[in-house]
Amino acid sequence: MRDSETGTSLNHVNLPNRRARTLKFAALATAGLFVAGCATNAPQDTTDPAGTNAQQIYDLSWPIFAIAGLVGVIVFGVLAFVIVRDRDRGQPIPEQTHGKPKLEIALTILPALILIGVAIPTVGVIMDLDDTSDTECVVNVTGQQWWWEFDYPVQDGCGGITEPIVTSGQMVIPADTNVLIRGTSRDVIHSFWIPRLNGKRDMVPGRVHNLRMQANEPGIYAGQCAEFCGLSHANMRMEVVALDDGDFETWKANQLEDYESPTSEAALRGETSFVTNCSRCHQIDGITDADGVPIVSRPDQQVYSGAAPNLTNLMTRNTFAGASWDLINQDYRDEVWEASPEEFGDLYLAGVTDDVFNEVDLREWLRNSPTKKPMYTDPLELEATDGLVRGMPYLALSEDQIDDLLAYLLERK
Amino acid sequence: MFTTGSKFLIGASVMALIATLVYGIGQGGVLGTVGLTSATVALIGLATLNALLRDSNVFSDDEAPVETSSAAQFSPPSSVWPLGFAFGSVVIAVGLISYQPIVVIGLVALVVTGGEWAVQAWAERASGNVEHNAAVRSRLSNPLEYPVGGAVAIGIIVFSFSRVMLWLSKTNTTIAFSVLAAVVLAIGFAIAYRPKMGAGAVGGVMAVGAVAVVAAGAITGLDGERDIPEFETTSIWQEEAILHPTEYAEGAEEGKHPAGLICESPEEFPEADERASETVASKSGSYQVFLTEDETLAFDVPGPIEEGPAGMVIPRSNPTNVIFRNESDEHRRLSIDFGTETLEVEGEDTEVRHQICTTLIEPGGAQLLTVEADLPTFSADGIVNPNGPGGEEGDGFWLFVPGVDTATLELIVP
Amino acid sequence: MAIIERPAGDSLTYADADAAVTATSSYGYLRRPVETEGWRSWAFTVDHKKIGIMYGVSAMFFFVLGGLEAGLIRLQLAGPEGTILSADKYNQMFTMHATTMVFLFVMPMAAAFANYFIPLQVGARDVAFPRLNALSFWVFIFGALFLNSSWILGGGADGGWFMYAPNSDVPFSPSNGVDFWALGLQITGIASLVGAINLIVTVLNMRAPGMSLMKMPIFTWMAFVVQFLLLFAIPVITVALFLLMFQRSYDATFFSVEEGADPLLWQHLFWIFGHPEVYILVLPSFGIISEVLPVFSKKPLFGYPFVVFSGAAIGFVGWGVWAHHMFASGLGPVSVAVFSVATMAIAVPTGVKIINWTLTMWGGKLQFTTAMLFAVGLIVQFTIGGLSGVTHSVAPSDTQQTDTYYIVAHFHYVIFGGAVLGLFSGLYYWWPKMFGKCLNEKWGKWNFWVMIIGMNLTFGPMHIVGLQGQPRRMYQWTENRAGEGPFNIATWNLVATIGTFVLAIGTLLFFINALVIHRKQPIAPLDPWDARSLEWLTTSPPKPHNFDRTPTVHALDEVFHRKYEDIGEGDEHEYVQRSTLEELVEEEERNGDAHIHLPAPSYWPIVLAFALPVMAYGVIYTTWLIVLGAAIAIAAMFGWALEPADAEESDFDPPAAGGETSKELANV
Repeated sequence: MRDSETGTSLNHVNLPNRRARTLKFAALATAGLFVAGCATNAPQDTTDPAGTNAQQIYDLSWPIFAIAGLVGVIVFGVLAFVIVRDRDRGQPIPEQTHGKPKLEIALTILPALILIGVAIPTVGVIMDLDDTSDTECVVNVTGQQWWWEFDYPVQDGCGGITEPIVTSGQMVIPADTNVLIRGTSRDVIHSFWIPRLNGKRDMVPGRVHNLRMQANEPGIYAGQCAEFCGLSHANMRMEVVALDDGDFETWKANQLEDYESPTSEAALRGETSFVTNCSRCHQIDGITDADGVPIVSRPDQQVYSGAAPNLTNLMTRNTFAGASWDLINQDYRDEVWEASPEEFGDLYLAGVTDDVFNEVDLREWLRNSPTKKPMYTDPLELEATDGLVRGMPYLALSEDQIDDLLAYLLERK
Repeated sequence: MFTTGSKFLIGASVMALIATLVYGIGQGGVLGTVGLTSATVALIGLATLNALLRDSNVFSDDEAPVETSSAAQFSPPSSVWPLGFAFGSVVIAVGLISYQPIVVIGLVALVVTGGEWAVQAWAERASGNVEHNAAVRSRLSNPLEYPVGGAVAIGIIVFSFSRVMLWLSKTNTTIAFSVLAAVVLAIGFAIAYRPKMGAGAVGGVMAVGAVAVVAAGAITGLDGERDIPEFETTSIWQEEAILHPTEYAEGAEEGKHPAGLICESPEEFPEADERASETVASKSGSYQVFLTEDETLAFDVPGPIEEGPAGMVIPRSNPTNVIFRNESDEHRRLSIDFGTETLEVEGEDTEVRHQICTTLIEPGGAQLLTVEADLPTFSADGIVNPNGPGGEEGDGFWLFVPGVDTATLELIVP
Repeated sequence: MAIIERPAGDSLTYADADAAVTATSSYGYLRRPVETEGWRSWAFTVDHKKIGIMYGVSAMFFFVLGGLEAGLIRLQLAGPEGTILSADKYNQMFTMHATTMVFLFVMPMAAAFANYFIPLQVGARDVAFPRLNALSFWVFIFGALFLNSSWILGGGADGGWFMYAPNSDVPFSPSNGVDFWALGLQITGIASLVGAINLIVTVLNMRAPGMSLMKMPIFTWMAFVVQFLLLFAIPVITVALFLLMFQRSYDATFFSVEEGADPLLWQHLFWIFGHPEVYILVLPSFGIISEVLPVFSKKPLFGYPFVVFSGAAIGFVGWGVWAHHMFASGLGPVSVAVFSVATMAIAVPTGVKIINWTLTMWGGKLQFTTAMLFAVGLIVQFTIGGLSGVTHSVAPSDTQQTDTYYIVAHFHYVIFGGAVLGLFSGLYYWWPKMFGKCLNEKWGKWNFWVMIIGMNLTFGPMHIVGLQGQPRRMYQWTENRAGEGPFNIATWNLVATIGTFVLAIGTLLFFINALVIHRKQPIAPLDPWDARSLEWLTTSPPKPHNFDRTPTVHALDEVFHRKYEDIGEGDEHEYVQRSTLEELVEEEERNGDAHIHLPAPSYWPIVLAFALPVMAYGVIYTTWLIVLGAAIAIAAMFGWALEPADAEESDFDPPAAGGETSKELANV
């Protein structure tokens, strides 16, 4: 110990300064590296909040990251100092001391104090994020393998909804409005997560869980099912689309418009084909059979989870099949995603038009969906579910039928 | 003293005698009494004979005298197996006469005690050394006795425990087990602070604890379970009434239950309303429907929603838990009318109304109804729902309370 | 043919000397094995050292297997829309990777060290129940093989190692993978339970004279705490696995929502086990480096009682934080707040350990051998993992991080950085004790640095990837969500994949060192590191009976104090080496105990263990196999009970000329 003490005193002259500089540099370098090492414009970036809830979480988190980083730098600084100073240079065997209890107790209390400092704001934010009293709009969210359904109950909120609206893949909400998600699941546990708007919340079958959603500005916010939900978990995505109030009204009105019969020959054939091949599971509101009786889909007799996406206004959404593929081409997609808040509404409400339609993916999907997205649809595999499929089965459609269906579906908006 | 065999026979005789008395006095069946009496007499005779002959153990041509044969070296140690064997035999007899399932208990007792007895009898002849013989017996029996015995003991304790928990109310369960945990902790501390405490004392405490649990289990088990919120099964009876209308009407004529469909009747249906028994936990975020004091239906869904909506919306094809709370002064049920569906009733396709409902709920009571709507509301467009408001207006799906015209609420399924 | 014969000796007294009964010493045909060489000496051994080595070897095998699974996962994720694995195979891969690494590598590797070194560190000749010890090993290995046999019988489990209900139910996972998983873990759980009871009894009852609990080596202490954690945690997962088994195989409805069940039940059960499991994984490594750091700092462990009590505190508080795995499950704000604060509380004892390790090195005389490098590596890497852990003890923050790669990064820093580096430190440190030769230090240092670089390249970028929104357990990721810029999520995914292969090379260096280079190493001295604790007070490798004379303990670092004397006065200290370990061991040999009795090997543990997978196959395929397995189990239990207490006199080697103490040599 004598020797090491002189060692300390020798270093004493220049160490504190040097150490402080090293520490400062290390802290800056770490922070710099992290920022430089990150993606820009990542659509699911948790460090780029776009709504009050995510902002609240972020404001709570980053100081904790900073504290943790600082503690790390201190620990590693001390460790590095010890490693350099005390390496074996032939010094005698040090004192066989078993510790200094006072120092020990002090060093136990110190981290405890830091953690108490962290705990108090944490509890505050937990309570704030659970508050539902300021809700201005309610959306029911139902997860199933492997897509999300959104339905808007009849309410005074959301600017008034008189008839329920059902959609899937993209949840459209008014911007700068406190939306409350009332979520559940039809089969296994899923988790609803829009990183830039709020943390995730599991959607558990048999339970109804709430989650706050608010987006400051119009725009599109990406999300992903975050709880492992089986085979195609990776292909269960969703997007939240925020529109300003006027655009939201337009969107609602469009969703509730009456059914428009197909206009072209191909689309008319497509309608027939849809009724034959698709309407067992997929609902299109307003479609009738030859006698004028509304056709009601019965997914509960075909699909294990009991539901299939409602396709009434398919082409008002930009995605399909669990938001895994786009209905618009890549260029237009980039345009929509990068649009300024002012321009966004018009671009989104334009929907999928002929010139931006991404025919390739939808055609492949209709040709043989299970090869595009892994699903349990092989009749041989369905013993455990009494023959009910999980996902969309292979339909053996001819290329002509697919052409007709595409023409028909392109008019669904 | 008595030999092993004679002990068994004496035991059997006593049990047979008891059985005879119990059966003869209690049941008084002639055939059974005669049979049991005969068995008793025969057993007593055999026991006497056997005691005199010392289990026929000493052969007449045995050169060694009785004193040196290994079996006679020591008087046999005490044994409970003959008693158990006899008990088993009698239980079988009683079971055969009275209540068949008891036979199983007797058989188990017979097999267990018979096996143990055989092993013990064999071990007693292994050598002339009692301790060695005991060790031999343990080696052979313990590998089965310990796991089976352990499983049975744990089973009994777990079962007793579950009875106690089902008997206590929810609040009392919390209190009871907080106290119990404190007691266990205290005993733990006592043992920790007095490590020299005798094994007897610790064992005694454990034994008292085990006995207490089993006794509490027996008492509470006999007393029955606490009232647990019930899960409707009324829809099964509703279906029964629809599928077999003739039988149902006959039942009503005989006064078994009121006439008509359960879900449309404000009266009590004994079959349906008394036998609802499936239970379910009410989980977070259930939908709630209230029958208010002024006899209207109100609802509360998770997450506040502003006043004025026309109806309650539930997702399609997804079982939704709805709690019905009766805040009126009468016994009431909540029914839902999902419009018409075509069913094959007594050989013919018939249009019937698809309805589900809770049982009759007392004022202030509540019950869970699991609602799954596979069809959207618009599938009933244009078809008048007689259970809608005012009885004759409106299409779609409706929640209603039979007997209260003012209590209707639209159920909207997108 | 009597199975049972008569007792020998004076216990039989007859009135008549010509009595018809005679007695022999054993129970007949069921003799005990006595082989000292060949496969039989391993298959039937009850020697804790051989069992320890077998645990270690099989754990290493599963480490390689789990590593291969990880390699495939990373290859699949190297680029967008990976196609190396199908979705189904990918799901099986990550499930089995986690299961293998947790249950079949880290736990048995820790069991290997605990088995080998607890008896040596407490000065005992073997564990308390040697046959049970063999049983736990064989049950573990049969369970592990059973679990992995699913690969060739229709595919592995595909529900994630957390196996959340209802996704684990038959309609959602129709293959038998989940059945294999549930039953396989059930079996390995039996192994852990039996082992835990055995080691607890050993520590409590078989310590050398003078070794009070607070003079017990720190590794033994930490392993002791772990055994208690196992004792209480395994029953919980056992219950959960039974529910799952009945749900899948016998139509029970514990997790069927349509029957009114609540799937969160599984999550609670799983995490009440799962969180203590984390400490089961890391505490043994904490113990190991708490041995290694003092040795190479030439100082006792700083604040030994604090380290002991913080270990015990972690063991206790670890039970009260399970729901922090469920912050996103919808528990309600009050539960979340409570568990959030409790989770922060557990950071305190963990911090105490890091502070104590640093202060152990402070003012020491540090020698950076490979073992020491791994130990210091653990402090650094685990601190990173611990600090990222603090960031998600903050529940709102956790709702953004859970189920993303940030969590993957966190727990790999904790488990790879905390547990695995410690285990490697232990391997380098104790290798000369176990095998008589040191591992090559030069290769060792390469091994360390390549591994550390590989690990940070693999798991470091996952922090960024996770915070930027990439969820876990996705068999593909898409360019559309990867962001822009040179360092977007795509880049970091590729870096992580490259890192995995650096890590694999690092691990390969260890295997080359251990299997090839090691052969050419010279015989190590008895005390290559100037060690401090009791396991060094014997030959390397230790004799079958461990110690010639049961040592009497006077101090915490007994061996150090036997070697060195403090000739300083007052507060001044000066240590002079008085004797070497060679001299000390020689003295022990000179004063060795006569008539050392060791337990004889046994056939039955392996037979009994074999019965379990047979029954498990029966649950999956046909009831008749259950009956067969039960029959084997009962037969083995009887064999176990009826075999003689010892091998017969004639089975032993004769004593060396003039000697009397050869018995144990024949007996191992």
